[in-house]
Amino acid sequence: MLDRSIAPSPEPLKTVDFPQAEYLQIAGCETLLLRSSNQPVVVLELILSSGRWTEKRPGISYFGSKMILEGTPQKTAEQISFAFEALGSYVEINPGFDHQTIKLYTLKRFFEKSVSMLFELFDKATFPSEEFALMKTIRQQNLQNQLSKPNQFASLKLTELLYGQEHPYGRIIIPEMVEPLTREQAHEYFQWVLFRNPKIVLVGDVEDSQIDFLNQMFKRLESNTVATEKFLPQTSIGDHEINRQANQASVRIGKITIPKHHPDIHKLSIANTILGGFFGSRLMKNIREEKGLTYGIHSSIVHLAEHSYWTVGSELAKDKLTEGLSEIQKEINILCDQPPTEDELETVRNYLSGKLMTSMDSVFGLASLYKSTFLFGMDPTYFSEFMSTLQSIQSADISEVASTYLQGELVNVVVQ
Amino acid sequence: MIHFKEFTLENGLHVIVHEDRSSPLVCLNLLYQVGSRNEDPEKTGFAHLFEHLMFGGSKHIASFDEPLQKVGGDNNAFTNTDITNYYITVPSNNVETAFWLESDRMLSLSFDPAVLEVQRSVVMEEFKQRYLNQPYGDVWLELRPLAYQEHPYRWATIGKDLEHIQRATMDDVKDFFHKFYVPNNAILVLAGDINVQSAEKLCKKWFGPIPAGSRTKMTLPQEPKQNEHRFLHLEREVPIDAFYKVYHMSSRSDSRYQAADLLSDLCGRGKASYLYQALVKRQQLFTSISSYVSGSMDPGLFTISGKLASGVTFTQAEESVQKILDDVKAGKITHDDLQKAKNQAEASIVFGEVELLNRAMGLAQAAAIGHVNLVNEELSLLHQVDKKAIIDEANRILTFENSSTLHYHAIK
Repeated sequence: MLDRSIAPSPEPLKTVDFPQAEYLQIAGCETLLLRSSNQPVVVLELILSSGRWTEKRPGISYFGSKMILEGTPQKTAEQISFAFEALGSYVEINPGFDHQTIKLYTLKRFFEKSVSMLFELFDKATFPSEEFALMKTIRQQNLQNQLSKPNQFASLKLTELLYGQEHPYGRIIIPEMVEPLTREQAHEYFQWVLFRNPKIVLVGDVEDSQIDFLNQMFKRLESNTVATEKFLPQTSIGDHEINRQANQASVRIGKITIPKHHPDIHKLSIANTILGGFFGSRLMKNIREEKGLTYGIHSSIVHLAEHSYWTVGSELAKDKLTEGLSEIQKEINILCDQPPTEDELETVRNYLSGKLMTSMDSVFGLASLYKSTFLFGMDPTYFSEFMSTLQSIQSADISEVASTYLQGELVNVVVQ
Repeated sequence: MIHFKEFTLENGLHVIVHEDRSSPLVCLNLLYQVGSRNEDPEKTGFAHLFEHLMFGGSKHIASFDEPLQKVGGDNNAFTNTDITNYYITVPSNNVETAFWLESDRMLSLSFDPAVLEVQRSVVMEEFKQRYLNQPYGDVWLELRPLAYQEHPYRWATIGKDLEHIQRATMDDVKDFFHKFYVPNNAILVLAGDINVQSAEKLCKKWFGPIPAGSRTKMTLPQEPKQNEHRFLHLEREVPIDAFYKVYHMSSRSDSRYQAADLLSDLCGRGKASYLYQALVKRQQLFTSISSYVSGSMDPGLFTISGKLASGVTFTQAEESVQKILDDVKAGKITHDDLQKAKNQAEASIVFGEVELLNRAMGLAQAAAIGHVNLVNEELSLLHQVDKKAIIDEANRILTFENSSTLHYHAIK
C-alpha cells in the first residue's frame, strides 16, 4: 500500500553544468555566440552603449533608434515593415537606460536576407519628417497611457527618487518633453551616437558561413565614440505618497545597492531571495499567503551600469496599507536581525540551483543568462561563483549581508 | 516536430510523454478540462479561485510548494475559459516528488477553511490589480456579456464581480473538486528527461490508485446566432478613446479556424497589416490597431481593437475600419500578403517550440481540443488555406449583424 504521507527521498541535485559559450570578434565587435540546431531559428542582437546616458535631449534616444525602420531612399516605412514581415522576421528595438538593443528574430532560411535588410537600414535610414511627426504623436500617447497606470507610475517615481530628476535613470519622460524634439536631432543621434561600442549576441542554429556573412556586414558599420557626462545619484530618502484615487496602493521601496561585480553580490542576492525573490519567500508567505493583503509581492536587485538598486514592490489592499507596510518593514528587520534556519537556507539553495538549471533549458534561456554578464563585461564564471557561494553560505552570512545592505536610508513610494 | 507517445491509465487519466534529453529536467504539466465556462452563472470566478486553493495543501501533504522547492523544482498554474493548467519543472532525478505532490492533490485536497479565507482575499486583490486598477482593465468584463448572451463565455474567468468570490463556500469547493478534479477529466504531459517506460511506471504508482470520477459530460448552453448588431458606450477616466469590435467565429477545432486565424493576421498583425497601414500610417485615425482570434474550445471571437488618434470621432474610426474590412471581403488580398501571413505563422510556431515547457503545454492543450498531433499538423493546415477560404471566412464572420461594438470613451 502506497504511503502518501512520506515524501519520495530527495536526491542531491546534480552539479549545474554551464555550457561553454563561444566568445569571438565579428568585425571587431565583441560577440557572444550560442549555437543549437534544435530549431531552425536565429536571433541576432546588437547591444549598443547608447542608452539614456548619451541623451543630450531627454527622450531623443527613443527616436534615434526607432526611426531606422521608417524609410530609406529606396523604401517607404510600409515597404520596410512588409519586407521583414513577409519573411516572418521581426525587428525589436529597445531603448534602455544603459543600452539600446536592436534584435532580429528570423527563421534560419531567411537569415542572410533579413540581416541584409537590417544593414540597409543602418546604411541608409532617412528619418522622413512625416513618419517622425507620426511617431512623436504615438509616443506621446503611449507615455500618457503609461503614466496613467498606477503601478508603472509608482516604479518610475521610485527611480526618480533614487537617482534624482536630472539623472539618466531618474528622469521620467513625459509627453511635454517629447514635444520640442525634431527629426534632425533624432537623425543626428542616429548618425553620431546610436552605434556606440556595439556588441553582438548571436543565438540559435548558426553556421560558420553565417558568421563570415556577418563579418562582411559589420565591416560596413562605423562605431560611434561619444563621451558621456557623469551623474551621481541624488536620493530623496523617506516616505513619498501620491494620491491618484486608485483601487489599490502601489508600494515601491528601494535603495541604491552594490554593483554586479561586488564580492558580496552573490550573498546579497541569496538574502534577497529569502526575503522576496520567489513564491516561497518570507514576504510572499506572510503578506499574501498568511494575510491575503496582496496578489503578489516581490523584491529584487536591478543591475545597472553605474548604480544598481534593490527594490520591494507590491500592490496592496488599500484599507490594509498600514498593516502591509509595517509587515514589509518587519520582514526586512527580521532578515537583518536573525539568521535563517538551516532548513530555510537549504530550501533556497535547492530552489535557486533548480531555477538556474531551468533557465538554461533552451539556448535562448542560456543566452539571456549569459547576456546578463556579457552586458557588464563579465563572463559566465559569475554563475559558477554564484553556485559555489550558494553551497558555502552560512545562516549568519545572510543576516550580516542583509543588515549591511538592506537597512536604513530607504525610499518609500506609495501611489494610491 | 514534437514527437510523443501516449497511454491511458485504467482510471481514465490520459498521459502523453515527450522525451527530450537535452537538459536534465522534466516538465510535468497537468491539465484539467475545466474552466470558467463550466461554472454556475451565480458562482462565477470559481474555477480560478479553485486553482488558488490547489496550492493550500492536500490530503497527506500540508504544503504544495515547499517540498518542491526543496528538491529544486518550481511551479505555477493558470485558468482560462476552457481549462485549468498546472505545471511543474523539476530536476529529473527528483521527478518523483512532482508525481507525489501532483497526485495527492488530485486524490483529495485538505479543504482547510483558513486557506479559503486567505485565497478569497488574494483573488479579490488580483481582480483589482488586473481589472480595476489598470486603464482599460475592465474592457473584457464588459465586452464578454455584450458578445455572448447565453454561452458561459459571457463572463470573464476572474468572475462577473467580486460578490461571487465573496460568497464562495467550502461546500462549493468540495462539489467542484469531486465533479471536475478526477483523473478521467485530466491530461498529464511529461516532457524532457524521462522515457515512456519510467513515466508509465511512475504514473501507475502515483496516479493509478486514484478512483475515476463519474464524469458527466456537461452540455453547455450554446450561443444562438447573432442577428442584430450590439453596441455599448462606456465612459472611463482613461487617457485615450479606445475602440473594440468583436465578431463571432468558429471554435479552435473547427476546420475553418485556420482561415480565420490568417484573416486576423492579414488584417491586424504587425505594422504591415491592412488595418495598421491604412489607419495608423496613412490616414492617422488610430495610434494603434490590431486584430486577433480567441482560439477557444467553443465558438470564439474575432476581435479588432485600437486607440484613436486625438480629435478623431468614434464614427470616423468605425467607418474607416469598415472600409478596410469591406476591401478584404471583396477579395483585395494579394498572393504576397497571404504568403507573408503564413511565414509569420510559421515563425511563431517554430519559435514557440523552443522552450520545453511550451511544448508540454502545447501537447496538453492539443489533447484537450481532442487531437494531440494538432501540434504538428497546425503548420500544414495553415499552409493549405487558400485565398478563397479566407475571403469566404471574412464574408461569413465580418458582418454587421454578427458584431458587437464597444466605444470606450475617455473622460477627464
